[in-house]
Amino acid sequence: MDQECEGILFCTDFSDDANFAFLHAVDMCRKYDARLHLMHVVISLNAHSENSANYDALDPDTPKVNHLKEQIVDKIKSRLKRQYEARLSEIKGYQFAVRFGSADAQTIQYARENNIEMIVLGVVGRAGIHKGKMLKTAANVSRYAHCEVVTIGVSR
Amino acid sequence: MTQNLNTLMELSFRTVLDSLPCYVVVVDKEFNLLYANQTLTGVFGDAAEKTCHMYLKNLSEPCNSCLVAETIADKKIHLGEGVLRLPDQSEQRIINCTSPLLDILGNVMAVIKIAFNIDQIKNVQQELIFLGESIALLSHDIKNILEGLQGGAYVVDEGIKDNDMKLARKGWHVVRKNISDISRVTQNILFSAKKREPEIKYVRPGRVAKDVYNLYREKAELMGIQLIHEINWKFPTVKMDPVSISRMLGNLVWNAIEACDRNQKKITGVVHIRTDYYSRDQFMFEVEDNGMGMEDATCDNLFKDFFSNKGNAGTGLGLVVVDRIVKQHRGRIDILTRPGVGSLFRVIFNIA
Repeated sequence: MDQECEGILFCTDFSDDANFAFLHAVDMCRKYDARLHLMHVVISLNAHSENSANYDALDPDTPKVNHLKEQIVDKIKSRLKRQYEARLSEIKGYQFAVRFGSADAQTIQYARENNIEMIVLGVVGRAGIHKGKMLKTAANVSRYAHCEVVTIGVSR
Repeated sequence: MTQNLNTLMELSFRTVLDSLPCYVVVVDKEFNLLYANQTLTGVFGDAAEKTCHMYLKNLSEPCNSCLVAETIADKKIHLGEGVLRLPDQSEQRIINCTSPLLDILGNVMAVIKIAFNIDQIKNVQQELIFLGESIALLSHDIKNILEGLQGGAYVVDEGIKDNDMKLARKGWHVVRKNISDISRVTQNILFSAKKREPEIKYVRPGRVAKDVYNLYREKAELMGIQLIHEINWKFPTVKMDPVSISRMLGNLVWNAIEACDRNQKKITGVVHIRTDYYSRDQFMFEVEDNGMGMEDATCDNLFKDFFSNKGNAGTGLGLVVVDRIVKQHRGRIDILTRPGVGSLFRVIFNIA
């Protein structure tokens, strides 16, 4: 990677590994004088809805679903700010992003769209090592991303 | 009595115009609306004291190519196609027809404009174009496959003539391969050209995946490609059309096998078929290969009719069929790919 870097993408599901990876992402941003993109991918709308409606089964373009998505984006951006703000003043610049869909596909797509030069993510997600979900996400992102991918895990 | 007759005729004409299933306006030489029928006012609202371009297009000036202006200028009937944007932002494709209303001296007093919604006609036209292109392109592919069949049959004949079973078997393999190729092509034609209502049943996704695996295992082996299935057999039954889903998965698996076959790196091709939970309310099918992978430009065009990156070998219908089936089942497709590394196609459906 060049000495200067346009953008580093940090993907989080707010797990311990992700929070640990964040520290490394900040270090990378300082080292390469890069802008940090903090992103969370919403895999299921149902997990965020307060009633029992099956939003995932609805047409994604209905006003009901769009309204829920807007609320989710606001909620998550607030959470990203709350959780990571303390260290963000150390770096050149940052922006928050919220996407909907599969974590690996959206991460790769976002990286392509925004000319990201490095992706930083945790190895194991909220589902835990036994579920293997984040492992798969990290593995797929490492395999298919167009740029460097750094996966960080808490020692176990 | 004459006055009553005139009133009756006027009322009847107005009723007729209001009842027409098309849009009718009468416009004066300054483009002011003199009349708009009920079919139109029912959509766009009251037309009083508005110009035609303001009422229909929210423009302060007449449209660039205005048929009304042309009719006013040359006193002739004009026809044209266009798109009408409705107040709810939906669009209708229309045919416009303008005709002059002349006074006793032959001067244009006003122009009557009639517009017909031709969305349905355009859809049928598109289907016919697609069908025509299908026939042209696929007949070429079928011709190639038939030539392969002829070649295989010739080798079988020679083997039988010379009592050489080994040669005959070699020819028979070629014949079988081409029979299954032609079967796959015609199945895809049927799926893409004909509307088929899904037959929903309770089915285990693992069963569907295993059947597709069994269908392609031998073929993949012959091509030197490893086909592996990773199925969560604890997954319960879900509602789906097993025939369509098998076709969808089959097309993805065949594409993956071909991608490995075309990979010039000469490594052992491996194709994985997976099915499992995706989230609490969703399940997925995944097909992953270590073949050629795809460039971004290829990825963008993947689901367009007849797009194929397989040169003469591809009909371009396989992924169109996949896309259609996924949409029928209200699912979505993720594509992860990298040139020289491989591709992963993931199809996600809701469990309920």
